[in-house]
Amino acid sequence: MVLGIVAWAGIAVAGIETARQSGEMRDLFQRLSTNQEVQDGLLAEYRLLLLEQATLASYLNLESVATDDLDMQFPERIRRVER
Amino acid sequence: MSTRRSNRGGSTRGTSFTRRAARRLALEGPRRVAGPSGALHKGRSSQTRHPPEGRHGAVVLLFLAGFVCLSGRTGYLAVTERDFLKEQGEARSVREVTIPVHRGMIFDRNGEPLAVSAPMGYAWVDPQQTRLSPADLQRLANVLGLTPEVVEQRYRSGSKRFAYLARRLAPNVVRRVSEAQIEGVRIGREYHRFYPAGETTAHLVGRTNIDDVGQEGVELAFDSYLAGAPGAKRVLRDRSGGTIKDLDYVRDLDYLRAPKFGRDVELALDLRLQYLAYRELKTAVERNRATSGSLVMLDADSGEVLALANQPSFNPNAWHSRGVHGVRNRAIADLYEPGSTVKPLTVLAALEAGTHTPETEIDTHPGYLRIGGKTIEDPSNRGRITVSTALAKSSQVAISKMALAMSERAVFDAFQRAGFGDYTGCDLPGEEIGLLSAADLDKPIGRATLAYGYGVMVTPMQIARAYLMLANDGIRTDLTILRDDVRVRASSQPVFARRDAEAVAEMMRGVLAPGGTAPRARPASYTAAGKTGTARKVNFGAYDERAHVAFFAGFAPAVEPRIVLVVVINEPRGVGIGGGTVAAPVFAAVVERALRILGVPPNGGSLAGPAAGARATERPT
Repeated sequence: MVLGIVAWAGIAVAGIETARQSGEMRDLFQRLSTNQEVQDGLLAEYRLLLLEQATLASYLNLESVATDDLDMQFPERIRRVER
Repeated sequence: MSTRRSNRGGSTRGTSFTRRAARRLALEGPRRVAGPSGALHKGRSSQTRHPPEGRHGAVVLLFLAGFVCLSGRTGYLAVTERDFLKEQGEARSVREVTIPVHRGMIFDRNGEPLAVSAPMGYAWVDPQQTRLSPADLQRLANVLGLTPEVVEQRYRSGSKRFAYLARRLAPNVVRRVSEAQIEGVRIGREYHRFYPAGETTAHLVGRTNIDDVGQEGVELAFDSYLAGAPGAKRVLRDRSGGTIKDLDYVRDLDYLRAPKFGRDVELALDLRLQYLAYRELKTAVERNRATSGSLVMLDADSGEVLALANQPSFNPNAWHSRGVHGVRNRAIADLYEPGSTVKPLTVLAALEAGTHTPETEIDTHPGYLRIGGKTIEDPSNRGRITVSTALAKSSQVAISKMALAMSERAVFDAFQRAGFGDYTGCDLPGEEIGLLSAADLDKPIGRATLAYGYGVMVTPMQIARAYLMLANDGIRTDLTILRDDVRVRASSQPVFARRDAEAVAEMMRGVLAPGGTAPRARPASYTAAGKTGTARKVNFGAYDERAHVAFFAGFAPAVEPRIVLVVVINEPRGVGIGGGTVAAPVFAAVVERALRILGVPPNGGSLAGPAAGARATERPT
């Protein structure tokens, strides 16, 4: 009889624990999904920023800014300057 | 009552009776007995706490029977209806979802991004379920920057259940479409390709189409590597549709559809050198009013393509802007007769054959040579000149005489070993192998013209590979567009004797010296070696006297070279038309700046004095 009660109690505890673990797993899964979404968003933002940086730093853009905005000239002839 | 009273009498017999009665009661359970009045009443309460054994057994049996029935039914369903039940269960809670992947990036050798996939949006509707009113069309048009007619046309031209209204929407436009809250208009997310360097790297990097599939250049050559493959997984969903568990990747015919993420590609290209090459080539093509131009720069040690530029070019971010004309990668797809740029190979063949040395004199008097009714001529009568001078002055007569002094196949074999008529190994799509035919070798005129670059068709990339062999002391190497490509080392093989290759390289320095055909190819601060070429073009089956191709090919510094450079200007219409006038200055400008960028210390050049380019004692120790 005692053994039976212990067994039933064990089954009940195991059931409750299984349910608790299952709930916890769902919570963790939700957090994982949220984190993955955040990661995807950050990755997308990183790519946009990388693209923006590369576009601004492209030599075509640099030369355009240097010649048009700063009135600079690309040296046409290389000359040696000696002090 | 009478029973209780008799028991209370206290006799032994009475006691034993009571025990028997109690035992019977325990076995049979309480039963109603008749009192003196004849009325029925309950037995003692102590008797009710001990149910009869038969009833207990019946209950146990009942439970057992129920358990057996349920187990049996469960087993029956599990065996006979397993697939159906599983399918039904999964249909209610298991869903397949696609795991999207985005295309890998392309970088130059210093980690500068050349192609980046960025998230964009698209707006779509289901025409069967959505009716867009004129007011909706107007609002959409305002948000998307289109006319209502265009929006309506797209809305009606889609399939029955799907129609794109707009693609490649920037994040701010996507936000505005969402905020407009037009019923039935939905937003999707997709990745699109952007090329920060634009026209500068267009021909090498290539482009993708609107569906992100490679169409040209590296994007096409490494499409499967860059693109990856989207996967699919099964997930468990709850009643509200939220995913609560990942189950497994979907299997299709034992093929696990795990996502394969697009991988990045690192090119050998150096964006700094590429921009320099692009800028100088563009300037030269515009200045000389040429039809087109190409430039190839190689790492002299590894065979890596450091820069590849063509004119005209195109903007891969809006690739249709220049049409097919600008998209063509002329450095690998256009075939030219290389003209005098192959003369170093002819001289190399002569040195190998032992018929000539650099000091051997050749009589070019009277400045022309008649072979089988054809006349080969130099610009002037140069008399007796050495092989070195013949190369420096690009004498057709001397080179023809050298070719005729060798065996029939000597020059042809030299060209073949230099890589003409073969792929360069750069793996770019659309590469031509050119034309190298042995059909006319039995005719002296065929051998003579082949020796100075007619009757053979090559690409600028093939010329670069041949000059790489000269710069590498006779070792031929496959070219590569990838950084640290292990295949290149494996492909290296000596095809000419080191001594002969060195002698030719030394003679090529005279081309850039005063008195050579290309003093304008001399960089200001560095020594260099090279060869000009000016070839007439064939139009309507005959050589056109007014259409030329100007070449300059060479390497720098002259000793222990770091870069190999080929410049091709197609059909220049400026003041000059020759390689020494049109292409050589581009070589000088690019070499000067490229070597500075690469950190090579100056070792001579035009600023060091007129004879510095031809000095033979500059080999660093």
